[in-house]
Amino acid sequence: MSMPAMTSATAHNGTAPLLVPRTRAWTQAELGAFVLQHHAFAWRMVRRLGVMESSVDDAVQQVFMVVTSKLGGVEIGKERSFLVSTIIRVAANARRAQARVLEQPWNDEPPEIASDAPTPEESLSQAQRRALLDEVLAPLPLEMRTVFVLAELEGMSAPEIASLIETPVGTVTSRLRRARELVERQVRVVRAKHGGPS
Amino acid sequence: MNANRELLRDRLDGFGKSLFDAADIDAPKSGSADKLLVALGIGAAVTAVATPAAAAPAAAAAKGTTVATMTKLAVVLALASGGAVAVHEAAKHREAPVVVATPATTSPPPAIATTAKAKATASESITPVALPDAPPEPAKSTASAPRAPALSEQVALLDDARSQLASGDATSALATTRRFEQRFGRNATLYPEAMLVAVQANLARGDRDAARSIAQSLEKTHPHTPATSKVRELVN
Repeated sequence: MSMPAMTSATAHNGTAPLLVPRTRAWTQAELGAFVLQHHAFAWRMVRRLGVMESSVDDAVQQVFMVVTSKLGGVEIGKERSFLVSTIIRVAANARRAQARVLEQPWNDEPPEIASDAPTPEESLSQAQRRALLDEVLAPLPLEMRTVFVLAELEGMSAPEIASLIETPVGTVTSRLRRARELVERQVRVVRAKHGGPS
Repeated sequence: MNANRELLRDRLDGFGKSLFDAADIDAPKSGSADKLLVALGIGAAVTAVATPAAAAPAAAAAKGTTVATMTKLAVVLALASGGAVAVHEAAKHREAPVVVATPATTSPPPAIATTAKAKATASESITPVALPDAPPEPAKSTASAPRAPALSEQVALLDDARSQLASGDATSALATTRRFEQRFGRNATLYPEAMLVAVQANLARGDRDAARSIAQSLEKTHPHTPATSKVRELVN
């Protein structure tokens, strides 16, 4: 995004189109406000896209280093889309880096659950549940996982997601449907794997 | 909550639901937004509210405020800088309000619409850093390794170094980063960011060898931080 986003408009004489920049300069205070407003969202997205908890803060910093340095070239109104696309890129890079050092890429170590535990619902800590959720989501391709997380964990509608990731609504709906099927199946697999009743 | 989400959770049993419930309450650690702002070099812009002209917001900040409140403070700053700011609701997404600011091109006063009902949780609350008029913490004399210093002290020194570098005084910036290292040590939270400034200062002075030496040292002590990545780009 080296050039500012432009849009065409008609000149006053009605003959030649003009290129009107639809970007703007951001003050430091505005950048600060943007970061504060979206920090928690970015953190959750990076985490749910499979970046290990120990690496999330660094990945989020990478996201905002990119975003704050390039917002001036982002078309007005597309700031959040740019943020999400940056989150996806940084998360993908972080997962690749994790994959190089871990035998099981982008999974935190799943918790051991004793098979004689009362039920998984009762015995698991929140951290263990989140690690299991990572395991549930791990098989999803990134584009499918992104749609799933935005819909199911961030509570967005398909049209909102479509607008945010600049993808047709039909594609979003299709990815979401497939993701749900995979997740539903994977929940059963993870539950069985870790000793819970099926 | 939308229909999509309800449909999925309706299909899951208690175990499956509990995994999603655990994710719902997952959030960044308190104070991480502060550290992020500082690392990005824009902490000063937000903490600049602690000036006499903004005494009231500063007092609110000093008591420990929320993201939503700090957002409003930043919006005030944005207005002061000539921008027209509209804050509109993004509450559907459990998100703080989105600020869409456009440059002031006309004389009428900027319109502000604040309809957001941001759900700022305790974990999203932030603590003001680097307040210029904050009293310095009392010195702690210990013979052993230095205890973790207050982040605000690191922020203040880092901001000094950045300001000096930005004003073209690379020598002073370098001296400030040396002071940072001596005072806080290599385990300091913002050590990589300070060393990034040191590398930039050395490069500005044309001392590439010194910059590379710092970079090599940083690679050993903090190989995976964003600041280290930036340093790597600068020296290679």
